[in-house]
Amino acid sequence: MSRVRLTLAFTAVVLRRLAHDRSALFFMLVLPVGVIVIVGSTFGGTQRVNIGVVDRGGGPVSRAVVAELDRSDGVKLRTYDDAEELDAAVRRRGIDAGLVLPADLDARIGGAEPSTITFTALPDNAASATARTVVDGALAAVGTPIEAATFARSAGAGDSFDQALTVARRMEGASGATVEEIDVGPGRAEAVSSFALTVPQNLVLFVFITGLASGSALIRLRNLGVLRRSMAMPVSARQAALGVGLGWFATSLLQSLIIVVIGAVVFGVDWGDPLAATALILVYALVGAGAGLVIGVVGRDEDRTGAITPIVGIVLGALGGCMVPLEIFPDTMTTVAHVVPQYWAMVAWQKVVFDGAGIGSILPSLAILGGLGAVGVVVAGARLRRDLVGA
Amino acid sequence: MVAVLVVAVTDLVRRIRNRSALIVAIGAPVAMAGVFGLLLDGATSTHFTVGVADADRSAVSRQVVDTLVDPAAASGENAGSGTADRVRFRTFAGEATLRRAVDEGDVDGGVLLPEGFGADAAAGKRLTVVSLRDPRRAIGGEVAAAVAASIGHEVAGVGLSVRVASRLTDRPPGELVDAAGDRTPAFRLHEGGDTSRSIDASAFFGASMAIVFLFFGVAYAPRSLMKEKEDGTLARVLASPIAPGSLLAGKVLGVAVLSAAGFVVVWWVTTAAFGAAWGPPVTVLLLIVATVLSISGVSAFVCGLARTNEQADTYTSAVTFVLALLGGNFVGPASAPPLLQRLSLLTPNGWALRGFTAAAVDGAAPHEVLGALAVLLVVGAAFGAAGWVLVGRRVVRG
Repeated sequence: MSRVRLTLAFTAVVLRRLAHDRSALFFMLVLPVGVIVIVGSTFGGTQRVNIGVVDRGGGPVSRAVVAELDRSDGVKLRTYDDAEELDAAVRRRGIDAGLVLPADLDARIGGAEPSTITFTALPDNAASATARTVVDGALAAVGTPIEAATFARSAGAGDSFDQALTVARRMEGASGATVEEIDVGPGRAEAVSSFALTVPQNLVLFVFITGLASGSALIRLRNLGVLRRSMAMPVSARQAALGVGLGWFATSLLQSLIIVVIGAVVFGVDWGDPLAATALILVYALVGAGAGLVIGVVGRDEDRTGAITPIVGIVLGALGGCMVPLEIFPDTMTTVAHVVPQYWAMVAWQKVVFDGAGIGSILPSLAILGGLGAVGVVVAGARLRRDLVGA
Repeated sequence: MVAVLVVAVTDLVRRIRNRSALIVAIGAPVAMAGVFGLLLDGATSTHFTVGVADADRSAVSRQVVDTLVDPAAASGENAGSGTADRVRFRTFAGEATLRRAVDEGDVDGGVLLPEGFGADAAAGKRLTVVSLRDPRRAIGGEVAAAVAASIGHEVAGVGLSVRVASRLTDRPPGELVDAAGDRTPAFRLHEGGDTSRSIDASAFFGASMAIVFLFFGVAYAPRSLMKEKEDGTLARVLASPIAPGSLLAGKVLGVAVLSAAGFVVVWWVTTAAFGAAWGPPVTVLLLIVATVLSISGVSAFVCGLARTNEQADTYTSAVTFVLALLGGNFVGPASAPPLLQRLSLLTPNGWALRGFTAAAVDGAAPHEVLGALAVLLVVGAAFGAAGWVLVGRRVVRG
C-alpha cells in the first residue's frame, strides 16, 4: 500500500467515526443551523420596532401623534392603559420604547410652553435608538406646522391660532425632509441578507467549538491505545499523525462547507469574493483542526475535556464577536478580542461579506489565522508522533 | 431514607472531586455571565462619532454644522468637536474626505449637507440630507441617519415657521430667521419612566446559562447509573441491601443538591462581582429550587429514553440546546419574535426565565411568580415520574 493511501486510511477512520457519532453530527450541523435561524430572525435585518403608547388626553393632536406613529414604517404600535403598565413592558423588554402623551397635550398646543411627552427606553436596548428616531420623526410631522403657527403669532400675526395653523398646514405642502442613505465602500447594505452577520458568526463559532470538542475523541483513542496498536502496521508515526490531522482538518472543512452552502441557499448570504472566502474557510478550518488536535494530544480525561471544551469555545466565540457584534464592543473588550482567533475571522468575514473585499484586503487576518492553525497542527502533530514513536 | 442519603452524600463527594462537574455547574455559567456582562453592559457606554461635511457652504448649512459640533457656540465659533449624549461629531472638509473616513472606520457614520441645501430650505422645498454608512457598521449607520433626520426636521421646521410668519405678518423672512431658530417647540421629549429596575445582562445570562448547564449537570445522575451498568459495577451495588429506587433517588438527590448549590453560587458571584440584581432573595431561591427539580425531571425522562450512556449524552445535548433556543436562553424571551415568545411557554426553562425576569425587573414576591413555580414543579413531577419508571426499567432492572 502506498504511503499516501496508508496516511489517508487514518483520515478515513476519523471521518467514519464522525459519520457514526450522532452527537457530533448534531453539533456540527443541526445546532448551528438552529441557532442561525433563531438568532438571525431575532436580530438580523430590518426589525420592527415595538413602541408602546399611553394617550391620557385623547384630543385631536394626541390622536394625530398616535396615528403618525402607527403609519411609520417598521413600527408595531401597542396602546396601554397606564404608564405603570407601559414602564413594566419596557423593563421586561416586551416593547422597545414607551411614550406617554399627557392629558393636557392638546390644551398646551399654541401656548408659551411645549407639551412634555415622556419617552421611556432601556439604554442597553439597541432598538431603543431606532425607536427614538421614529418618535422624533412622528413628532416632527405633527409638530412642525403647530410650531410655525405658534411662532407666527409670537411674531405679531393677528390671526387666531387655528387660523394660523390652517395656513401653516397649507403652506407645508411638500416641504419637510428626506434622508438619503448611501453606502460607502464597495459593499451595499441593501444587498446583504438579514442573516449576513449571523451566519458567518455561527460559522466561526461552531467550527471552533466542534474542532475543540472533538479533541476528546482523540483523547479516547489515545487512552484506549488504538493509535499505538496501529504502529504494529507498516506505517510510520509521521503518517499516522498526518492522517489523523488530515481527518480533523477534513471534519472542520466539511462543517464549514455545509454551513456556507446552507447559508447561501437557505438564508441568501452572499459570501463575497470566492477566492477570499475559500482562503478564509480553509485557513479557519485549519485553526479549528489545530485547536482540536492540541486538546486531543494534551488532554487526559475524555469526560472532563468533553465538558470543558464547548464552554471554552463559547467564551472565546463571545470574546471574538460571534455573539455580540464587534461594532458595539467597548474599547477595552475590542483590545482583548485581538488575542482570540475568532476576532480575526470575524473581521475578515465582515470585509468579505459586507465590503466585497478581495483576498488582498484580508491578508493580515489570513496570516494570523494561518499562523495559529499551523502552530496548533505542527505542535499537536509533533506531540502525537512522539507519543506514537514512544510506543 | 438513610440509604438514599448515604448514596446522595457519596455521589455528591465524588462529583465535587470531579472538577468537570464543578466546571459545568459553576464555572461555565459564571464565565458566560461575566463575558456577556462585560460585553453588553459596556455597550451602553459606547459612543458614536459621526462625521459631518458641508457641501453647500450656505449660511444655513454653516449654522447647522456649528450647532452640531459645539451647541454652546452655535453663533459661529467652530470648536472642532463637541459631545451630545453618546454622539460626538467631527467635521470634514468635503464629501470625499468624509466618505474615506466612514469607509476606513475613522467615524461610525457620516452626514453630508448637499449642494442646494440652503437654497431649498429658503424656497420651502423638500430638503435632502445625506447619511453615509458603512454596511459593516449598521448601528453607526442608524445613528448617522437619525442625526440626518433630526437636521432635516429642524431646518424644515425653521423654514416653515419663517414662511408662515412672513406671510401672516408681512415681515421679511430675513428678519424672522434668527427668532425662528429659538421658536417654542410643540413637544418636548422627556426621557423618563420607571426603568430603575431592569434585568441587566449579567443577571439574565447568569440565570440563563446556569439553566442551560443545569441540563447537563442533573443528567449525571441517570447517566452515571447507565455507565455503572455498562461497567458492571451496578450489579455489585444492587447485590447490597439497597433498594433500586433508593439508589436512583440518592443519585438524583446528590446531583440536584450540587446543581442547586451551583446555581446559588452563580447568583452570588454575579451579584458580588458584576453588581447583578436578581430580585428578592426568597423568590430567587424558590425559583432556583423549582427550576432544578423541573429540569431534573426532564433530564431523567430524556435519559430514560436512551439505551446507553453515550445515547443519553446525545439526547441530553440535543434536548438541552433545542429547549434553550426555544426558551430564549440565548436571546432573552422578550427579545424574541412573537412566535418564539409563545413557543417558550412550552419549555420549563422559558417559564424559569420569566420568573427570574419578574423577580429582577419587578421585585416580584413569591406569590407573584406562583404561575412559573407551579408550571416548573408540575413539569418536574410529571417528567420525573415518567423518567423514574423508564430509568428503573431500562437500567436498574433491565
